[in-house]
Amino acid sequence: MDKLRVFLADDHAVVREGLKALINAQSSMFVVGEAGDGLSACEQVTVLRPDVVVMDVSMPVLTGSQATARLKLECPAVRVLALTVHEDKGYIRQLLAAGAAGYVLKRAASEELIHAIRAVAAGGVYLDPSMAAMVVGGFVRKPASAAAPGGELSERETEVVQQTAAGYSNKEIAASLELSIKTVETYRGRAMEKLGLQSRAGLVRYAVQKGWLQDG
Amino acid sequence: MPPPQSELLYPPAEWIRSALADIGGATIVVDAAARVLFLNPLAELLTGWLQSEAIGRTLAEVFRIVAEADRVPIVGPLEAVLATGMPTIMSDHTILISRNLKEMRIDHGGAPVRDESGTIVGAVAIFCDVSERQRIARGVEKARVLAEGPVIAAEARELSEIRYRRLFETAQDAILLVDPTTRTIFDANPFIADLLGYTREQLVGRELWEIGLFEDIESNKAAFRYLQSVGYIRYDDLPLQTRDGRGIDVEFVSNVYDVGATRVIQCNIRDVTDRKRAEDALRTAYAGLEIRVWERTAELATINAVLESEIARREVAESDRRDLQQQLTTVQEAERRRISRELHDQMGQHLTALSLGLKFVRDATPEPSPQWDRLQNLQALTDRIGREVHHLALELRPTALDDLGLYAALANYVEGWSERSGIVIDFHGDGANPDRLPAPVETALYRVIQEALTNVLRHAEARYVSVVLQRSPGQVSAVIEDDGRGFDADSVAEYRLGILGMRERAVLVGGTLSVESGPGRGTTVIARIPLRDDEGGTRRG
Repeated sequence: MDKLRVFLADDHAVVREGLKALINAQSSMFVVGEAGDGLSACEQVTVLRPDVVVMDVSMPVLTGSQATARLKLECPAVRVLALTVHEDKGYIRQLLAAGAAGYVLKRAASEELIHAIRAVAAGGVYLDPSMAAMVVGGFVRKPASAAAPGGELSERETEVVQQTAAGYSNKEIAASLELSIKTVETYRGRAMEKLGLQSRAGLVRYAVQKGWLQDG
Repeated sequence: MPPPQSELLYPPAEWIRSALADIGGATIVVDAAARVLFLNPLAELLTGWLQSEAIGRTLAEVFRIVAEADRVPIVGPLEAVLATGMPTIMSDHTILISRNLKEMRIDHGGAPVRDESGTIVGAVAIFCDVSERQRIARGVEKARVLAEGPVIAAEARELSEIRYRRLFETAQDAILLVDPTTRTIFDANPFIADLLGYTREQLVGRELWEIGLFEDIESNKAAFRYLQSVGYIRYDDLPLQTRDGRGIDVEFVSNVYDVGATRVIQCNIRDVTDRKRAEDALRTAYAGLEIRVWERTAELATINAVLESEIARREVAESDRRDLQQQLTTVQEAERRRISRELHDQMGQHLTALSLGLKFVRDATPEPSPQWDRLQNLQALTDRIGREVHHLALELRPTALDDLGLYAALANYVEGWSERSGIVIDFHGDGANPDRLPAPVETALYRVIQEALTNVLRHAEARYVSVVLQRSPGQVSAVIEDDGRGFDADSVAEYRLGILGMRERAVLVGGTLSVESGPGRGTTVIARIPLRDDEGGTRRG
């Protein structure tokens, strides 16, 4: 079986050295080339055609996601494994959207990198175990039911829900509807029970679904 | 009081016109330089001048008067009034020569016109044609004498005499009877002694000016002339000296009447010193009061001015403080951003390299062995440091806030917070909106939410927390609401600092922050930041 050909793109030389040593210590893979910025990585990869590119996210000239997007167009067969210090799912989504087949957090690289390279080379997707649930969860949003399971809302309850969803406090709603704060709390509590909701944010989503709010 | 002696307060022009037009007498109003301002219709008729022609002319031109006896022109009849402010009555057989040279005998008087501050701003001359009246009065008197004749019952006259005498003796006014031809006193009632200190005997045969009633012979004569032509004279307030030199104020009323063929002048003198003193006291008190009101008003105005300048000064200071705070916040955030980046880009990379190196060495070490275990532990430690560095960077300032925006940064932050705290967070924000808010607004809202969640963790004992980020036209708001135990905002000092910090953040970007809570009712923090029209429409990242 041919050894896996791996290309390294990272602007930190010490990290590149560490990665190279780790990869070359494996019998099943070796490093074919390396680059310190996104553009140089793209240029070399189109020539070298490695099996896997280990791509740092924060790099000069072209960032990791920009370089990934470009490689996806120029040599779609090359698998990109992103390497990042950022644990925010926003960054990770951006990378996956750009065409990365997986990613590894830098702090976990020593344990997971080899495993991840093998996984993406085999055509799979590799997500860091500690982040996977978060990322997938973000893509799949629980749809809240617009129907009220506990019965229809009364006119007053509807008013209170609408105003709460619009961002007003109980005190402000009480003043606007000429009710006591206690009464507003009661209406809101009853409405949330009928709708099976537990929080203000739930009320906002319900109101968005109902078309009561102009909301992104 | 009869019009010639009253002192008019200077009224608005309209008021002069309507009031003076209705006065029975002919009326001319002049300004302080004795130039004509106004003639009423009767004055127009008597002088032959129309008001429109007379205005601005000198009084002497319009109101030409001469003494009946010697036809010497009487110059400046109102000048004394303007100079002294004292009303005058002149009726010493004055002849008015009209514009068309018609002559008539008149009574005339003058009074000053004062403005609200009491300054004399003009004078009013009032006069009437008396030729007719005198003729009629004389006719009536003649007719009466003819009708009554000497046949009035002596009895009735005697009774009347007794009654009159008693009245005369017991009156609490001093009464003097004066012979108009000799101008000497021929009778006085007993009360005069109480009033002036002169006995009846000391008075009889003297002239009025000798007992200090008029200043000199001349004014005595003038008064007599007036009295004889008009038949009545009255002074409300005349200063008088008693025999022992005491100054008193009296009211002096004098009538002329005929007793049979004899003409008598009766003078009634009433002591008004007490009344006047009371009036003076009242006036002084009133003036004093006015001065005090004025002083107090001035004092208040000064205090007010001081307060206003103090307020202005504080506003400037507050605005300076805000600017400084804003700069401080900007610098602080920039510093945090720098350190956060450094932690990721430098420390993070070195830790990665360290971890990779340890892994390499470990893999080259035979297993099992104490060295292998040791290396395994060191690697775990490096991993922990890596996590801590990441967390530290996140707390300082998440790079996502700059790179990906508020929504992404918040989504990440609340997830981590929920994981660490075990409290469920329901986060809703308009994540699909790619428009970035102005960076200071994003930072402010991120910090407010961070602080609010810190407070929830410390105090609330909540199960659910909502974080809602909403954008509406012209505004972005963040609501952080928990179902915890709440607090009484006024009494719990430990919340105050957190709330102050959040409020400062909101205020620095022009927004407001309100906190609603109550024991057992959870806590709601609402930050509202206004956006300019051109804000919130910038696509970044």
